[in-house]
Amino acid sequence: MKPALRFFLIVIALGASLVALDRGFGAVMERLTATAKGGDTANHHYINLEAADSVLVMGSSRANHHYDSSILEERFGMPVYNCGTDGNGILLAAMQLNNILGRGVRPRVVIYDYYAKFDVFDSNDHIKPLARMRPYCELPGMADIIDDLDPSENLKLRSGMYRYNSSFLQIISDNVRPRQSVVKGYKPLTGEMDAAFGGSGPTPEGAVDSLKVRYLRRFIELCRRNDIRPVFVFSPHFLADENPHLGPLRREAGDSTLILDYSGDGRYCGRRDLFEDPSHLNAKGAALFSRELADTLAVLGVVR
Amino acid sequence: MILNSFFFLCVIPLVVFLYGVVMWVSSGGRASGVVSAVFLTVLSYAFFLSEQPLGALFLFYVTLVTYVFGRVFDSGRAPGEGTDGRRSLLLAAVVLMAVAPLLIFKYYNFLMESFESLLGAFGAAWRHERVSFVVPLGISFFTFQALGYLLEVYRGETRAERNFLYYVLFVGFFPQIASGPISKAGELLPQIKARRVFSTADLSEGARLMLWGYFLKAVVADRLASFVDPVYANYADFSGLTCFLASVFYSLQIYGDFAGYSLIAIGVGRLFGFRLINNFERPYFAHSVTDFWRRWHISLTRWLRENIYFPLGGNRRGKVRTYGNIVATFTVSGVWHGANLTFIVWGFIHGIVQCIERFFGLGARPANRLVVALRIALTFLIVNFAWIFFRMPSLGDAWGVVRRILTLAPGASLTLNNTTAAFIAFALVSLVTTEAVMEYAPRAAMLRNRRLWVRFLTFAALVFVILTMGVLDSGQFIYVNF
Repeated sequence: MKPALRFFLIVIALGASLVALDRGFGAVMERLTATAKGGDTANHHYINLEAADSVLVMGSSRANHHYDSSILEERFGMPVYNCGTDGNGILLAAMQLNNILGRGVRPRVVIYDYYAKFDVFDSNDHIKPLARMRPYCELPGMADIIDDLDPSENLKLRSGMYRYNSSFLQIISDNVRPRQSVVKGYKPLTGEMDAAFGGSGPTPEGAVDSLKVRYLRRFIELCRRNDIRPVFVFSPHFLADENPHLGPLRREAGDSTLILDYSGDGRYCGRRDLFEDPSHLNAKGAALFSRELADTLAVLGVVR
Repeated sequence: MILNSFFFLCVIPLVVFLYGVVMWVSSGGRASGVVSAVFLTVLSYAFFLSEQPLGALFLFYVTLVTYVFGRVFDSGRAPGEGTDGRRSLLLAAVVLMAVAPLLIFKYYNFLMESFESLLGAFGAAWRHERVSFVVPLGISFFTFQALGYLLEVYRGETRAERNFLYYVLFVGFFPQIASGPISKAGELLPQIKARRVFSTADLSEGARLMLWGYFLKAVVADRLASFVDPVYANYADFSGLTCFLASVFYSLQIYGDFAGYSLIAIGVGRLFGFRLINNFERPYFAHSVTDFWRRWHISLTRWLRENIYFPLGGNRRGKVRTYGNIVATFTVSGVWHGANLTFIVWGFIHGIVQCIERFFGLGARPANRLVVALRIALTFLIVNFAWIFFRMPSLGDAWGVVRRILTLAPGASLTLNNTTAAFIAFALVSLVTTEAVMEYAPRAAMLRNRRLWVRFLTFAALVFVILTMGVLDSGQFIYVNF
C-alpha cells in the first residue's frame, strides 16, 4: 500500500474511533448525571431540571454558604432551595432562571446575593458558568445565552467529551459516594476563621462589565415579567470596610426593587467565630444571618 | 497567533489541506519554493492581521529595516571580513531603529518611571503620566530574530538575503511569531527557499508534537494555574508551605506552558515541512543552573550567547571578565522578559549562580548517580527560587513570598475540591513520568513506539485526556506577554 494512502486510512480510522469514543462517553455521562445520588451533580440536575420551590436563593459561593435553606423554609413556611454556586454570579443565575422558568415553574421570591466582582465587574470570567451548564446546553433558551458568552461554544458543545470536560470525575464520584454535604442546595462551612487571615483588603472598584450588567437587567426584567419578587442582598462580610459597590445594581434595579445591605453590620464584622474566611460565613454565622434575614423579609412583607 | 484558540484549531487542518493541494499542483516546478513562500507569507500576515492589525505594521517595519541594512552591511564584503568604526556606528544606529518599537512598547513606562524616581531622589518633582500601550504580539521574539540575522550579516557569518519575499517569511513565519522559537537565518532561510515536498511523515510528526504541546498546556500548565494563581494573588493569607507548593507548581506550570507552546509551534511548522529548533530538553533534569540553560529556552540562550556573551568577550578575557559577561548576559535576558525589576533580579540570580558553579567547577555532570540526583534537586530549588521573582508583580511581593516560605509562616492552606486535586495529581504524575522516560529511556516513548496500534491508542488517549481533563478556555500562553 502507498504510504500516503496508508496515512489517510489511519487518519480516517483514528477520526472514526474518536467520534465513537466521544459519542459513547457523552451518552454514559448524560446517564450518570441523571442518576447521581448527591453532591454537585445531583444539586445542579435538580436546579436545572426539577426545582419547583417557592423561594430560590441565587448567586455566588456567598449565596451558597450564607443562606440555610432549612431555616428559611421553616420561617417562610414554603419550600426554599439554594442555587448559589462557587465562583459564579449573574451569568450562571440567568441560565438557572431560564431553565426553571422554561419548565413553567414560577417561584414567588428570588433572593439574589449580590457580589459586585461576579455580578457587575469585569473579572474575565464569562465562560466560567459554562463549566456547570454544559450538560444542560440543549435546554430551551440556553443556546442563545451560551452564544452571548462565547460564540464558538455551541459548536464545541457538539462534542460529548467537551460537554463533560473537568466534570466527569465529579459525576462518577457523585454516583458512587457523594462527599459533599448539601441540604436543599445549602452547603454549610464548618471551619472557623484562621487568625492569619485578613491580609487582603476590601474588594476594589472594578471596570463595569457590560455583558454582566445586561444580564443583571435581564434577570430583573424576567423576574418582574413572571411575577417573581427579586430581593438583592449584600450579605455580611468579615471586613467592616468592605465596599458592596451597590451603585451599578441600584441603577439597574431602580427604587422599586428591595436591596438589603449588610456590609459593615456590627453583628457580624470582625467576628472570627462566624466566618470561615473574610468572604464566607460558617454554619454558625449562616444560621444567625438566615434567621435575621427571614425575620426582616417577614417584617417587610416580602414573604408571608 | 494564538495557537491554542478554537479558531486556529478549526482553521489549521483546512490550511494544511490547501497548502498540500497548492504544493501538489506546483510540485516538480522550479517555482514551488516561491509558491510556498507566497502562500505562507500571506497566511502569516493574515493570521497576524486577524489578531492585531497595527502589530503587523511593526512586524513589517522591523522586517524592512533589517532587510535593507542587512543588504547594506553585506554589500561588497566577503564573509568574515573585519569591521571598522563607521560600520560600527551605523550598526548601532540600525539596531536602535530596529529595536525602537520594542523599546517604546515594552520599556517606555518603565524608563520614565525610573527617571521619575531618580529625579525624586534628588528632590526634583516631575510626574510621568503612564501610557497604556497594546504591545504588538511577539514583538520581543520577531525583533530578536531579525536582529540576530542583522548581526550575523554584520559579523560576516552569513550573507544577506536578497529575496525580500523569503526574508519577510523568515521574520514573520506564523507558528513562531508569538513566542518563538527564535530561528537563525542559516536554519530557516534555506528551508524557505528549498523546493517543498509535502510529506505524510511530516504531517504525523507535526501532529504528534502539537498533541503533546496541547497536553502540556491544557492538562498540566493551566490546571496547575488553578492552584498557583489564587495563592500568589493573596500570598499573605497562605502558609509558608502552601506558598512553597505554589512556587513548585509555578515552576512546572511555566514549563508546561512555554514548552507546550514551543512544541505546538514546532509541530505546526512541521505540518508545512519546516524543522524549527527544539526549544526545551527536559530542563528540570539539569544537574546545574549552567546545564539548565542548555535545556531551557534554547533558542533565546543561543541568541544571547552569540549576540551578547561572545561580543562582550565570552570566556577569553580572564576569569573576572568572564564572570562579568555571564552576569551581564543573564541580566539582559531578564530585561528582555519584561520592564520590571523582578525580571532583572531573576536574570541576575541565574547569572550569579552560574558564576559560582564556574568558580567551583560544578558545570560538568558528576559520575555518581546519587550526587547527580542531589544536584538535580538542588538545581530545581535554585531555579524554583528565581521563578518567584519572575512571577510576582513587584520585588516586595516576591520577597514577601520568599519570606513566608523561609520562615514557614503559619496561614491558610488552599482547599481544592477532590476532582481538581485529582486532575493536578494526574498532571504531575504524567509530566514527571514522561519527562523521566524521555530523559532516561527515550525509546520507550509511546507516541514514537514502532507498533502502529500503540501509537494509535496513545494518540486517541491523549485526545481523550485533553478534551476531558484539560482546561479548555484557550487561556493565553505566559510567554506571549514577553
